[in-house]
Amino acid sequence: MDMDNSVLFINNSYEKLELCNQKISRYGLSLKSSEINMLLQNRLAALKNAGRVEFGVGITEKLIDAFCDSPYVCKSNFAETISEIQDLFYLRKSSIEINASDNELIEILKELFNGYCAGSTVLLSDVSDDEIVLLLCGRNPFAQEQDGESDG
Amino acid sequence: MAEINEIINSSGNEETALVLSKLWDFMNELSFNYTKGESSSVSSDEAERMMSSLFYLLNIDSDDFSNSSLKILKSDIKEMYAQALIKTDKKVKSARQKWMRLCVDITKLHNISLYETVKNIGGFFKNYNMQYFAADIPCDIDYQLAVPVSEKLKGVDYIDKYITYLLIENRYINLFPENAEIELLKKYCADYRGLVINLFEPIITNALGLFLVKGDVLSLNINTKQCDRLISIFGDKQSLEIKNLLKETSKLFVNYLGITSVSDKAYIFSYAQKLAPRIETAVNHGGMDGIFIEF
Repeated sequence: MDMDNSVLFINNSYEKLELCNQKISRYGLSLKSSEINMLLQNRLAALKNAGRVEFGVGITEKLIDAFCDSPYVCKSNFAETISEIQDLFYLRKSSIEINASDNELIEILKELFNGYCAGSTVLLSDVSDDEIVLLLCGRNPFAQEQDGESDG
Repeated sequence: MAEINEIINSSGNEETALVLSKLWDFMNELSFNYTKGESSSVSSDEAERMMSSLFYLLNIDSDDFSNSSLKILKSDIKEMYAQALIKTDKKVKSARQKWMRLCVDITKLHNISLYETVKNIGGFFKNYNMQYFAADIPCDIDYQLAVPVSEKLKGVDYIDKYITYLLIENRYINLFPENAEIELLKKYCADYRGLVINLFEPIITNALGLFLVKGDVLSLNINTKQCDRLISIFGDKQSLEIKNLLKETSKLFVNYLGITSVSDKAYIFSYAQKLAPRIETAVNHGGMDGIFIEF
């Protein structure tokens, strides 16, 4: 699908994201108009890149909601972080071999981002599909590694 | 989303945008129900198939979108969709009944691809998801019909037509003595059981040829003299004349066989027209090899 055409259908997404500012302001965060547009454009590119299609408002709002209380985001990096996590989210959605709901996957990404990856989207992108599947199944592949680190 | 892109590229008017927006909103609802609200996105493949399904159910032709757009603008898509599901469900039930009849009446001439295909069609009725993927044909169909089903047909329309054609072929095959058919098929293709060949073609072609030379149609066996006669009949004719001769012959042929069903008659007429270019090519090469068979 030529995702550029989808621009026709995402007009109401802008307003939804703009409304998020009310919610995230309590964490000292905000999204400028240019950042909202960037997120919407990147969402289309991310969907195309991951071979996915969204007919509704999309996942961005949920990601904003989930990551706004992370200790690793601030006003200056928030939009960029959300955009990068959005990329990873759609890629994982396509590549992992089990059916995970959006909420389950967001929960795992958030857990990794705030824990093992310490706020690094680069580290988050290095986590393998198998490791994500294990986490989705309730097992922590990083437990031993983290224990080992703390032991040392 | 080939359909949507085609429409957007070919039209830029406001009405089209409104209709597409209406369709898009409904797709949003469909995809929400499909994922049970657990996923905001679906794979491109699923989205394509869902969109094709919606176009198929609502009878929207992306090549002639302006015709459908007025209907969509004025109607409630939900209602149109619900009505289409009821209609499709009836089609599925009717096709299933035909398939069950086919399972009972199928020729005893064993051909693996035919038997496997008939068996696989059972999978269609188990796996067909008309709510989201009504344009899909979720089963393997290997057996090639003598008159192929139009590729334009989708979903249950395709499978229904395929079963209908197979039933017709089967009815014709069952008119002739099995022993003669087996001998003919063995000569036509030594491994007629194992290879993907159509059983109807050699049987009806020989029967038509025998009918034309006033031979024993039920014997299915064309001897050298009869074959030479066929070469001389077709040899001096142009393409159109061959077509016309086969058309006229097949009309008399179905009467001879006592065929009354219009669709059964039409099938032979279509097959005869398909046979014409093969005969023309064979005659131009000085024989009837592989068309009329002596055993």
